[in-house]
Amino acid sequence: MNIIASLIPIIILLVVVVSVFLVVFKVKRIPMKTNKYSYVNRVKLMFGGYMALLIISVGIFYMLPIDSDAVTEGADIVKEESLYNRAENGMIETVDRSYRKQTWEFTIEGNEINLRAPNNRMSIYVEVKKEMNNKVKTAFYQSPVVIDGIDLTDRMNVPHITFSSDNMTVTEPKSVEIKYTAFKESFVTRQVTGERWIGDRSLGLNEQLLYIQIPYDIDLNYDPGVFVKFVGEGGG
Amino acid sequence: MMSLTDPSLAVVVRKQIQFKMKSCIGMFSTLIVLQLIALVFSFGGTGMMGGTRSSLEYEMNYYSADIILVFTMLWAFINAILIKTKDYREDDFVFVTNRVSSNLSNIVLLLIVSIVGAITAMLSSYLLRIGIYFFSDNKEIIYTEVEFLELLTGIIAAGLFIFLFSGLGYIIGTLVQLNKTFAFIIPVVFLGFIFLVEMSSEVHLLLEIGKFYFNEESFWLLTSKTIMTSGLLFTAAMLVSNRLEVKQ
Repeated sequence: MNIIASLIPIIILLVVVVSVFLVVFKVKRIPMKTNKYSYVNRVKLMFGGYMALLIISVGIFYMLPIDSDAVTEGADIVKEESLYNRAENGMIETVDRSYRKQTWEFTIEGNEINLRAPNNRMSIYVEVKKEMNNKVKTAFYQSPVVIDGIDLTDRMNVPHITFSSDNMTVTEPKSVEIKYTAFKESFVTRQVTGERWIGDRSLGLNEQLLYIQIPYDIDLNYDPGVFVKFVGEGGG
Repeated sequence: MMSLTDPSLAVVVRKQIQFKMKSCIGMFSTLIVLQLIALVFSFGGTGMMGGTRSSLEYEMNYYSADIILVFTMLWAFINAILIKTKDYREDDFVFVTNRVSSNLSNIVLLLIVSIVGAITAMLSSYLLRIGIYFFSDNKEIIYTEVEFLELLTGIIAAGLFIFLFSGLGYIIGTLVQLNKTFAFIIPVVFLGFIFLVEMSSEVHLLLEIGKFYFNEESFWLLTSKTIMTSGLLFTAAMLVSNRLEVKQ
């Protein structure tokens, strides 16, 4: 089975080679005529036209409105420690400010919060704090999203959060669909210039989490299916 | 009757090259046809990456001139075999020549077609890009800008690879010229050797040979490897052809 599997690429190569052979063999040997419309002159004309087409295409390409700046050279995996690690260690305030995409603040009337997060896959970290003055502070954190050198962080959505009568409803961010067409140099150019190929450029971590700070004397009720982790002094 | 003139080797080779450029001009028409066919294949893309992470679904489609380059290498390989066939060999008897000048003119001809093939293959990537831009639904297009020097380096490297493949085709063509049974023996021995090595040591010989050339990141080392290999192949071909009869 191993031998058959290793035969397949050779068979494909043979088919391609035979096809190329057939095209090349189709070309007749020239009869060495020298008149204006001789085979030699026709081929010269054809080849000259082809070269002109290629050179013109270079000029046209650089006039097209295509973004070459979207590629962030050297955009590798973010060197920041994982957001989740920082949150679990109660150090979320130490992350880069740009990672905090949106904040909310609500005032509680009672002594419990009912957290609803239907179909939510986002991680929710809760820190219980003294001196919150009956306020619930919520912040959404998003680490950079970099795919093959393209920074897509700004394309990401934020969650939708509502708060009424001590019921907090979290709807995770709407999914973003991104489709890119990328022009790459040939494998030979990439080989000698060091330009990297698919998957060689690292991805950004793309971590998302919701960080909620609630008063010390408030109970938080939530469904078992919701991922909630208590951190800080209230962590367990 | 003796000849009164004694032309130098360089003059003879130059005249042969000029003649062969006209007699073998069909090569350039086949180059155009093959590169356009490869261009059409390239519209399907040469790579793709996609996935889902958190609230992100992404798909990246890549386009490059890789297929065009591979077809050009194959074209050079086949043409190098063909110029050792009977039809093309008859051209050598138009001039007063010997095996050395005949081989040298063939080698220079292959070098010229390799350079032409490399330039057209690399420039055809721009034709591909324009085609994708106008005919693709997806207008979110990006590319990494490459400097002129990098493009030139790529063209030279492509030319070296194409010349290497032509060297391979030339030695095969010469061996077949020596004895027609080599046309069957060479592929059988080659494939058999690959399987033997793989079965005995689990080493993928073709893969290792490919890595030796295609994983070389240093431009100068790559140049040395390809030039030395091409030199060896063409020298071997010249030595083999010295064993041939005049009109063989």
